[in-house]
Amino acid sequence: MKITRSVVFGLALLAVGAASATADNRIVVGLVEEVKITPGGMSLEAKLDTGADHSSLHAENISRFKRGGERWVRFDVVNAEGDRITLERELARVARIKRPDDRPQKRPAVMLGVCLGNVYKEIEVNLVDRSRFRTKMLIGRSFMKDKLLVDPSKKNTVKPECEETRKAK
Amino acid sequence: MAAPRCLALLIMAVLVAFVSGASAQKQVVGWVEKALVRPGDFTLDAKLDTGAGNTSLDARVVGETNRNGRKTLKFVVDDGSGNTVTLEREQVGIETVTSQGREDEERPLVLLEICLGRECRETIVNLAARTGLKYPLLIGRSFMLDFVIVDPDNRHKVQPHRKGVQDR
Repeated sequence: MKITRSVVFGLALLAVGAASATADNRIVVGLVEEVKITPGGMSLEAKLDTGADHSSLHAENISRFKRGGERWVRFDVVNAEGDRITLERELARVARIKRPDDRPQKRPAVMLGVCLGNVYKEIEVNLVDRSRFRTKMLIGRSFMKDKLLVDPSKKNTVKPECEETRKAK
Repeated sequence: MAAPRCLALLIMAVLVAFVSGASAQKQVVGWVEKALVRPGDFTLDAKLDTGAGNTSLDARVVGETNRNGRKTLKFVVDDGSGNTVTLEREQVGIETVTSQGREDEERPLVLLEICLGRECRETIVNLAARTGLKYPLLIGRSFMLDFVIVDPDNRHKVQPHRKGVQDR
């Protein structure tokens, strides 16, 4: 009886597993997922936005400064729980965000490590005031590339578990 | 006593398989697809935008009529290949759209049928004068719910089928 039961249970698990993986090993994740950013190891809720090329992050007290002749940015990252960290990163680019019927918006962009599920990538993230929005980070297609599909009907399907994030901590 | 318990587990397994089977049957579509819009029966390039709550159509409102307390909007849609389509639909509401870096904007709502891949659904669409953007139709989550998974690496994976015509 015990064997039958575990076989049945195993089959059920298999059926569940098959639904969330695709043939090319990309995984299907939900609209909103927890991510962990490096450096700092802050956890945030992020929205996966297939309409966005790149990713953006809510930042406060953004200031520019020079270090060793290079342009740097200092900013605070705040999550929904009220945790706050101050990060200093070299300026990667000034991103120009296209807007309908409006001039492009300029935002400082920095490189950050982002962990979602077991996917870790260092990507360019532009810094913006998202205080009006509940989700403090938007993940764009450049992070999803070759790794993720988005099921907009689901939420919080994975936890951030990346080797790189653990080592950096 | 073990037999009924085993049966219950089996039923559960079948249920789980059924539920996950149903989710596997969601269509995987690219982040840009051809969508068929009705009335009018015209196709538009649509961006599947999981960041947007509702669907929005680039349209120019050219007139409105009020009859028995109901407002009908006349609007012109540019299909992106130089053709324009004029539609008249009842206005079913107003949506306040919040977007990054700009003030809240009020947009009129109409009902349209949109076909994407094998599915056609009537959905609420806000009319936006979004001239200058690449895709005349932005498909939001309310349309995608329960039947679409978005592939952010690919475009044009499916063709819109008209229900009952090419389908089956």
